[in-house]
Amino acid sequence: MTAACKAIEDGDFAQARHHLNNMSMAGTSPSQVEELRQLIFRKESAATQQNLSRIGTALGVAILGYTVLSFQSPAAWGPIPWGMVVFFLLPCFVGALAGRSVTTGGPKSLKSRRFMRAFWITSLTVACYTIVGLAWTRHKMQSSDKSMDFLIFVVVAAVYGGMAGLVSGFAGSLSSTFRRAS
Amino acid sequence: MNIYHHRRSDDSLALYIDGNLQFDSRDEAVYHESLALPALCLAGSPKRVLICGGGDGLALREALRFPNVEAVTLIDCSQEVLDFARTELSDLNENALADPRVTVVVADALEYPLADQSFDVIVCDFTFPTTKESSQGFTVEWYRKLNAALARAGTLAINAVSPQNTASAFACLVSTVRAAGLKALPYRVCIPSFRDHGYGAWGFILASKRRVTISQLRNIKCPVATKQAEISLLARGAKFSTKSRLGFAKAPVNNAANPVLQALLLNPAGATFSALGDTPPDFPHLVQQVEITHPYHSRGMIEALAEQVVGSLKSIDLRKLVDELAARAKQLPKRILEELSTLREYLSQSLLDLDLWGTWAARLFATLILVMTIANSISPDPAFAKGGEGLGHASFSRGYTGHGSFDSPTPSFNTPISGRGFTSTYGREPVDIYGYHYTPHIYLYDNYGGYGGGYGGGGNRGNGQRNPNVQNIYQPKPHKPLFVLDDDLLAMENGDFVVPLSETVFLVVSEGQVNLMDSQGGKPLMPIFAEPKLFENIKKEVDAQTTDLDREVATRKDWLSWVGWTSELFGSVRDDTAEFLNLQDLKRRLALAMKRVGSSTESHSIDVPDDEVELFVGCHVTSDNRVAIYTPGGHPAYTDGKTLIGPTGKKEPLSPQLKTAIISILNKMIKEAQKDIASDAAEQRSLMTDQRSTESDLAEYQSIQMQNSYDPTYEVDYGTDSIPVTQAIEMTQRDLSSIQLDQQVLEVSARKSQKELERFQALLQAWS
Repeated sequence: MTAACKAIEDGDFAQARHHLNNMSMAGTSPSQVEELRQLIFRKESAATQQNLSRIGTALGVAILGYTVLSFQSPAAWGPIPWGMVVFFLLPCFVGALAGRSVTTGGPKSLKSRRFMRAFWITSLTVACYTIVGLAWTRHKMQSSDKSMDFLIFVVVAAVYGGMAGLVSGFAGSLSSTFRRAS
Repeated sequence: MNIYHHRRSDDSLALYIDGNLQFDSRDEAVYHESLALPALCLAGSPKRVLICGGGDGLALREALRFPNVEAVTLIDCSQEVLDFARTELSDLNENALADPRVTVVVADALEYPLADQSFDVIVCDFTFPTTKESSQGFTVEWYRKLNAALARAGTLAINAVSPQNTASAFACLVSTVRAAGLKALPYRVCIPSFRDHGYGAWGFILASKRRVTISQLRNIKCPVATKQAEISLLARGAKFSTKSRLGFAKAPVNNAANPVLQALLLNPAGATFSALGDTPPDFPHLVQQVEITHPYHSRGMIEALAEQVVGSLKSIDLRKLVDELAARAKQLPKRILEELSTLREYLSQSLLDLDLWGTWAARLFATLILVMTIANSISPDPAFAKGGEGLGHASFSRGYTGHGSFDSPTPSFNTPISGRGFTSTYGREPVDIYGYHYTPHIYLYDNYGGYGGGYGGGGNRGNGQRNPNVQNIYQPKPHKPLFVLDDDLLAMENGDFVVPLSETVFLVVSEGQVNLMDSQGGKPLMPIFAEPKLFENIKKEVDAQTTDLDREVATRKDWLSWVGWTSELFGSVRDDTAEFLNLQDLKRRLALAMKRVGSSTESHSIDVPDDEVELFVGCHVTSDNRVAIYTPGGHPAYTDGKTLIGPTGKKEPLSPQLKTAIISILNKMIKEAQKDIASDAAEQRSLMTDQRSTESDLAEYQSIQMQNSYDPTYEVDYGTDSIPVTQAIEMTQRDLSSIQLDQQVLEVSARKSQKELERFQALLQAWS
């Protein structure tokens, strides 16, 4: 029972269920088992809801941040401030928020899950931001050879998305202080 | 080429090529008679006819009905269509392909060699262009080839596109035909089968080396009987609104290097993102803005795709899906079944609003698809060089002040750079604001002091006003134009401005002074009064074009700030970088040139007196057949072709170089004035015809209105539309006022040109 409660506290609900099964087979009273099952279910639902809300927040912040950035071109923001914001500040912030969303699964899988979650959220947002920015800028230019544009778009979006995603992923994986569900 | 024919139970037949209806036998005569007969009738008695495309033999049938026709060459690239014409269509085309007068060539008409002036009538009956390759038959290069092959009085009939559904593409074709040096008369016809297929009223273009007018079309007496078309009524379809006619003049030219036609056909509404405004659009509106660039895409497809994605995602019932999976999962390992059960249980108790998530997921996917479509819509846009007529060969006016251009507003240049002049040839060949580069023309002169005070053709006679420390040794050097500000204003590499006046004479504007130069020997002819308005106008012109340059530089800077680091990977980015650097260089050079040109040293302007005519800036033709050349300070020197009376009253013989220069300018101006007068007269005749026709239409509408007891809802034909009679009357009255206004403007212009011509001719005669 104590081990199951600790697993619930750690957010490792699979482990908690494993203990629950052991308790059930060891002949613990059905009322206790049922009570623990309900507890696991409530905590897991709460954690999942919290996860989703944090993912939403991270995504919202990313979309908002990159939407604001898209008001001007990188040249207008200034290459260094723009680079700092696009590839460092926003990814770190979004990564930290996305990292907080990983509250289930136990301590073992937390780091890689946080990394991947932050990576995908940020890299996809940056890729979209890049494609829209490139499309809009290119739309205003009539000259030159545009036959390679699609490839340029893909390469630039992949590189920018990848860079920002990596930074965000690392930031997300380091956000250990927020790992517990409330 | 995909050919499909549909034969109906009544034995009528419709032919489709690549999915586009070519003709329906029930009304094909409307199409083919409207296409071929006007050209055949207006060519007089045509003997030699060329038909490009039209392998169905139906346009050929029309040509063969003319008894004078001796030989018809039909060039079609499709053996399949020709075989079909010989078999299935032989009744319809009256076995035209077997006629002994006909030579059938299976070849690409565009590649086929055509001898000069070898045909009296050419009929271009190509299929609707659905690809860049098929739109090559609608380019200015092709029409130039046809122009060369056309006899002097010959006519060309072109199957165009719909002016109703694809107005901008139709205007582009008219503009393209005109750019090929042909006079074009566009007209449209309503073909029922085309209308039923949603193609709208169909457009044709009648063209010739000579002017073709609506009245000629109206007065055609067709020597052969027509089946379905009424040739004289085609003139009604040739009347386009003023807006449309302006559209023809402004439309881009479709050429091989820049095939704009395809884009215009695919995006007839011309919707662009710039039209969105500040308010974020809703999803359907956003989809509406996506530019279509692939020939096999259509707006309907894009909308359907977006709707399908949204609909499919919304329609997924996750709970039901899991139930279905669980039902089929009996053969799966037990653990997976348990997992599915857990998921089902979870879903049944979940606090999640699945519908909400479905909606958001659908929106996300739809947005992603939209983003990819936008990326896909950025089509290759190969830039091209206009080339051709280089500097010094184009139509230059009298310098920079002709036709009152001082008072005209500075033109607005909002057309973005589309040529490659800033990428590949910048610095070697002059380029204009649109990026088109021109054949370089070398101007020979010495660009500093030494001829400031002299006149009369001497090289070393000046007093060196500008650079007193520089020795008065005149050393002409070749100078190249860097930038073409206008037909008659060039910015040189060294920062001077040159105003070409004729093939051999030009003005150099530099350091607040103006000098008349002879380009043959690079000799200065004389200093000219530095008209302040000339300097102001140069400044205005440079400012306007610098604003455009700023915008183009900023756009490229934005682009390169995204992708500049990929220049090692992509050649196009390298080109963009070169273009950016060259644009910046031009901006810097123009700024330096503006500093160098300075402002006029004169304090006042010299107006052209009523009894004088301006030959070029600072040079007038007087009423007594003398030429007044204003020297620095505003004092005129007069010449009668023999002697030159200087500002101080000193008399000396007129130098042969100066005389030759003035005569060359006079010849140029006479040619231009004659051209203007001929053009004005033709335009005036056309306007008169339009006026008569519009008045007759107005009377007809008024009579209809009266006959129907002034019922405002009674509808009448107006062009290809049907509108209430009151509205038709209003619109016709508006057209009439517009025509009258045009006539007045034209009359003033014609009077001025005539006066100038008479004066120039009298002077030339006197001097000869």
